[in-house]
Amino acid sequence: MAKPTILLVDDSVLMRTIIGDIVRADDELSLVGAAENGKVALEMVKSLKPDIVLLDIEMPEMSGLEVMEHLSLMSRAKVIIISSVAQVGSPEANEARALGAVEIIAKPSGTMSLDLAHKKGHDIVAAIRRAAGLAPPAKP
Amino acid sequence: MTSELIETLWRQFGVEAAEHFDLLEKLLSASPGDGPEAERIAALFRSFHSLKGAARAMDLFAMEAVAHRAETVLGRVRSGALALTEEVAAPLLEALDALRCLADSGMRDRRDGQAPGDLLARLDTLGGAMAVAKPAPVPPPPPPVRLHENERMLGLFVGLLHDGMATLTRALDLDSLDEEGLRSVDDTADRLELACERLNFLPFADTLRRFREALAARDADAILRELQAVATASDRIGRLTGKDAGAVILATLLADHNAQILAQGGARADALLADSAALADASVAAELAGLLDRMAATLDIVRLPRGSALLRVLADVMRRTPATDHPDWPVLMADARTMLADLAVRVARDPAEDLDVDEVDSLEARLRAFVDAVSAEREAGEARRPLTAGDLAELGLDLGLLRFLSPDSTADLRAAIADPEMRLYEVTAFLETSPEVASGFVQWMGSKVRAITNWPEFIDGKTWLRVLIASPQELPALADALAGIDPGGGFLRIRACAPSDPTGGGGEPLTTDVPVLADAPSLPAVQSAGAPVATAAPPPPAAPSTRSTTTAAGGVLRVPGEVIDRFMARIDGMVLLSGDLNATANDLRLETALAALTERLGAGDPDLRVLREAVEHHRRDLLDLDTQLSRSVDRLREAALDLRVVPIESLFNQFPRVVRELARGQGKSVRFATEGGEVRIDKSMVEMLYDPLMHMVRNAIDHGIEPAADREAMGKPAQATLSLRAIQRNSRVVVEIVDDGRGIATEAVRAKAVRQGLIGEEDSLHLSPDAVREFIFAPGFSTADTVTETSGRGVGMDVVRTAITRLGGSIAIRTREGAGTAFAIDLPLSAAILRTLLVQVDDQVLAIPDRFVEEVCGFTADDFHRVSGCWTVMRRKRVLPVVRLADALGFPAEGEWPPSGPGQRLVVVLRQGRRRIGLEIDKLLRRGDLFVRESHPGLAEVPGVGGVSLLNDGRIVIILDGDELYRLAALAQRREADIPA
Repeated sequence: MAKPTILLVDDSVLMRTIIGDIVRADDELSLVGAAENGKVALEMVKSLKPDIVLLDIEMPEMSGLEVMEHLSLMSRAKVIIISSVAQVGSPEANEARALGAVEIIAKPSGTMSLDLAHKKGHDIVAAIRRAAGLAPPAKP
Repeated sequence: MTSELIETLWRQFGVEAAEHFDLLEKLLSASPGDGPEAERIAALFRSFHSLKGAARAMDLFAMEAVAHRAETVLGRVRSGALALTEEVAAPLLEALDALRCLADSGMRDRRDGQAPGDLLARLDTLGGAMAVAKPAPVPPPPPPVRLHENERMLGLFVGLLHDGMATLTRALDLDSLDEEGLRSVDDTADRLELACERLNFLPFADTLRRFREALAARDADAILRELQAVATASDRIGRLTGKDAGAVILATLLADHNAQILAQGGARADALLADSAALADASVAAELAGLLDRMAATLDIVRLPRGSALLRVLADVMRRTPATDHPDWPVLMADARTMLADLAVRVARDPAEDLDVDEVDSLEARLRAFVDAVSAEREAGEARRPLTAGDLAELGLDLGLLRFLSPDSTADLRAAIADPEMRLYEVTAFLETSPEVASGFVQWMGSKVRAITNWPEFIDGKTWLRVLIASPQELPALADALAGIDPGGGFLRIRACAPSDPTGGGGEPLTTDVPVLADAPSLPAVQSAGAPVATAAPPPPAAPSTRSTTTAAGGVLRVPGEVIDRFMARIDGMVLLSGDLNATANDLRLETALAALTERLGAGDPDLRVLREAVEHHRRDLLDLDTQLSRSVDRLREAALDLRVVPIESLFNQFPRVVRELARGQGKSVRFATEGGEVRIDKSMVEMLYDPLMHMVRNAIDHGIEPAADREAMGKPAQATLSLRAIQRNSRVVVEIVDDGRGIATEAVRAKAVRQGLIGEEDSLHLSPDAVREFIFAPGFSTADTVTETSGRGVGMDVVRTAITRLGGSIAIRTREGAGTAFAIDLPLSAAILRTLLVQVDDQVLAIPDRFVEEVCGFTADDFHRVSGCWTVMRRKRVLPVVRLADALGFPAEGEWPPSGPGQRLVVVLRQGRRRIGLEIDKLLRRGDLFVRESHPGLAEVPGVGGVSLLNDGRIVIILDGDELYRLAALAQRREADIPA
């Protein structure tokens, strides 16, 4: 079976690097693209047809929630929100859920220290694997 | 996580944080009137939020804490709980400063810093209790909203449909559709199907699924059928949402396809008409009638009403059992064929043309007359007997109607007149602008009223449809119904047709005109003749709402400055290397050696001659290569220079806040404006211009701009204007600092200059005002006591001028007392590239700025003479003092001094104004363009050093400051003179 394909959407190059690194570390996942804004993301979704979209909420021009509105009409991709705005129970989180987000997780923090990097990376990878129907990752 | 990745992350963090800082600075300093406030607040929120995330990712928790609180404050502003007043903006600016410091120290030490506690507390206060309170207990997520009830989603969906329609119709042309095209159509249909499912439009989703099946099977008929279903569905959705869901596009594109059908149908109809006798067969006639009806419908879509009308009449004739035995029949059919052929030609034109009106009328009249004659003979039924003009006038009907009343419609009309419940109305409709109105109208016609006949009418360059209807309803009820279909009015109008009252005076037909909109009396009434005159043109269809795409990031790439610097250093090295190659290729010794060899060889050994020629050949190749390489290095350098330039806006943007704070501090009101921010200058200039500009901006606010009360007293606006503008002129840029303050009091400057002993009283009176104002730039002119309200400017302007001069620029003043002052700084676009002469002293490579070098001369030891204690040479009949460069710079010198022994001594003639001094050097390297880099602080303190650059081998080139070098050389010369010989 083909590896689940993943598209990463975040306006921060720093976050794209960090999260991209985390996803790439899992051999059973395939990161097919990274978009810096919603518009690019929608174009990439059309052409790349990813299985999973990792989506930031706070982005200029088109917010993550707006992107989700479009995505829900044009893609079967599962959407995982990676954002510190979308705390569980926040209006943003509820709206994201209503629009069909499968997971809502916080942005990675403490990337600098190795242990934390593994721990936070673990959260993201675990969410992706759940969405893709893969076995949970080994505990760090 | 590898250390390389970590380095990358820090670098990205630095670039991103700097971007946010710049943006925040600009947004926080902007005046509320500068743009949409909501956007500004949203952008502020987002920037602080992003900084928070970035800080957390880098373990900078103090920074995260500050950013988080600022974000919280802006969250309250965004929700309207807090206004972005000065009291709120000030701590946010402080937060920005704190974030800058924390980011800097974080990047430097790779360690978390300490957030200022009082700032956190103040931000917490502004952020409200929410900032410290525990997050509220988590409410359960709400049940999923039904998406089609979400108006925004519906809007998106309609947009998707609209955009997808054109792609779907590509399926009509199966033959020209390759694999990729097919996939793209299927993709689109798939996405639309998904969208329909998500919004619960299940029947529509089914239609799209069937369309995809037809596409997969390449079943052209099924494709057309499903597309028509799609058109119907999207039309319905369009009506539902009040937006164009692509039905119009689809209709247009289907019409294109229909043009094809038209051509094929025309050919078949022609064939059937050719054998006019065969039409006696009812099935043949029925086929032809069906064909003509379909073609007429198609002509309606492509808007050729005359052709359509004629074909309908012809179809009518066919259905009425054609009288093939009638003597006129073959002639009529032949004429019909001619007309069809003509129609085929006209339809194929671009744009398609309708039939000629006279020809249509004539043929139509003949056909009708023929049918009527035949029918009259055959049936002689009362109901179908044609009405006369007199009959129509009696009914209050338009006489023009006569030709549109077929026997069937005549019968309908008679029935309606006979029915006491029924009334006659005439509706005038314009159906070509709004698809909603058109479809609503057609539906209304089909269900609520009985249509007797209709005919097109050409009014004001547009084709209106006029319909004669019969209805039991009263006029107001009908008008209401039409108003429901056409809420804007203007497309649908109705009037009642009343029989003329024989007792009424003047014989004027009694018609009652009711505009569809009762409260729009300004609408022109329909004339009694039945034609609306000067009907206001229907409003154009609402422009499709285009999303703003103004801020698309036009391919801008942010690169850390250090990366560019490294890149520059490498190119710099390459420039030097290319220079070395040039020196080697042009080395005279090789040429001399080759010449000597040639002479020695004479007509000697031919083998050696061949070898010599080979060497010569290689030398020429080397020269060619050198030329090419230096050209390409030049181009590379020019391209690289472009990387260094930035919009001067990045400099200007540092000022709004300063201006605001300074003005506030002095209780003055100052509007700050910038112009020409897009002018690009060298990055290093931005840094070097900051201090001088800041100085002048401060001066302008401190001394130039008057308090509001004084301004008003002078009849000026209370708010002063201070602007920074940049104008590019070829390779130079002029930066102006302009204020509309009190201007410079020339007399005060003159008096001060005299008092300070800069000029004698007598002399000062002969100076022009411009010359007097020049004293502002005199060193020492600015002292504390000049800082008075009347002195205007003058604080440290000598420092400003020195800095500008160092950048290779000049500064000029324009001023008028009472009106304001403008300082214009004229600068080269790039101050970072310096043309220098590279020389060597001992092992150190030194660069002397080219413009200070007059020439380099060779002297022998005998040329040196001691004149009044100094060593000199005679140059152009003048005495030129010479010192060792090493002595001037205080470097350890090794060679003998004064020169002795054989061989040449090289002397660089340094000039400053009209003065000259010679510098003895060990070795002359070449001329070279260097990228000046800021020197190491330790090195900068060494006298005479202006900057550093790097050689390709990593050695440092010290760039000497011309003025300073001259001063040091003169000093060394005096020292020498003091030493007794």
